[in-house]
Amino acid sequence: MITSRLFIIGIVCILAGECYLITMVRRKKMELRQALLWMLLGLIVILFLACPPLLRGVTNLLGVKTPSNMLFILGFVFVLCLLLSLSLSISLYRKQIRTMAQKIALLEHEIKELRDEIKNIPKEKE
Amino acid sequence: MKESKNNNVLIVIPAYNEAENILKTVASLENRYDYIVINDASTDETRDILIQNDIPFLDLPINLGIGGCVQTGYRYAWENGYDIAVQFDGDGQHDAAYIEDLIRPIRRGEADMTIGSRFIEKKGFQSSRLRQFGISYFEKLIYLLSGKRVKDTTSGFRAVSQKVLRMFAHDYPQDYPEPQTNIQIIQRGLKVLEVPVMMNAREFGESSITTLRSVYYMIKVSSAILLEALENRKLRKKGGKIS
Repeated sequence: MITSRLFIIGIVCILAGECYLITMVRRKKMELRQALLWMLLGLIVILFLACPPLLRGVTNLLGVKTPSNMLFILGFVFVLCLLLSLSLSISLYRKQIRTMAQKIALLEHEIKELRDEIKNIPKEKE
Repeated sequence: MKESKNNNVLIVIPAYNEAENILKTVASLENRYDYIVINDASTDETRDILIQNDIPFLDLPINLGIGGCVQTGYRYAWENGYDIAVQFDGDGQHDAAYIEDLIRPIRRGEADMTIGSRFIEKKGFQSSRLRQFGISYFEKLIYLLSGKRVKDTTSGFRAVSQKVLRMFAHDYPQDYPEPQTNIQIIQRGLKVLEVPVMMNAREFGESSITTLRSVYYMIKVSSAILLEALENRKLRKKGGKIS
């Protein structure tokens, strides 16, 4: 099914990807939380590559005719799940940003009021 | 000036690019009430005008849209202990002469929210036919789901009691909030009352709802109202089981 050349190319690509992820996490450009999902994806693909019977087994189990179709489906589902989780994150961030903007506006107003009050204190004493 | 001032009432004036209208709007209040303008990160001279004229205002660092903008005002009202907040648009559509009519039922405890309605006496600016169709569609939808009639479902001219104020300060719908808040309040067993008012057509600037967006508007608000109705049915069921 899978030629040994493809196998090696696949493994190398995935390992390179995993290294990239680890570097990003170490450089604090990506949070481990987000990277874990991608790392997991790489591991699953390696597992399928290294163990063709597993791929065939899952293909039969789901009633898909060819393993390649099965991979496409799995990939598509994974991407959908990832997009959904991004949508959820955006909603959360929108709410957080909104609350922060409102807090800033309220605090700014309070600072201005306090400044005005301080300005008026010496005048009252005179 | 102070003796006639209503100290427990705050007028909330949302403003996005209202440089031409804002001074007139504020002047029309004639200092009878405390008020606060919320500048929703306007890109015109709104902010400069507010500073130059020493008008009290909250300055949002980013544009939040009408929902987040108005909510900032409700937060301010809640944090500063006001009993009643009135939403009064900065674009000159609303007439300050009716504020007292909106506040009165709330003071007397006859309502938790009053809505300034164009369609009770059918006087003044009545909006375009397409918009009237949308407004009456929401009226029917809300009636179907809650059994209560609100005629001017999209009116942003409204006064709320402290109870509602507190609710809005913590949770207020975004995008197109008015119809959704109507059903929210009705479903929580609070009383909504419509008060006849006259509105003006906008003098300058554009309304926030363009024809292109109206389809999205209808879908979004309809689903928001439906979800709100579902949510409250669930709440009521839960409440029933516990008690």
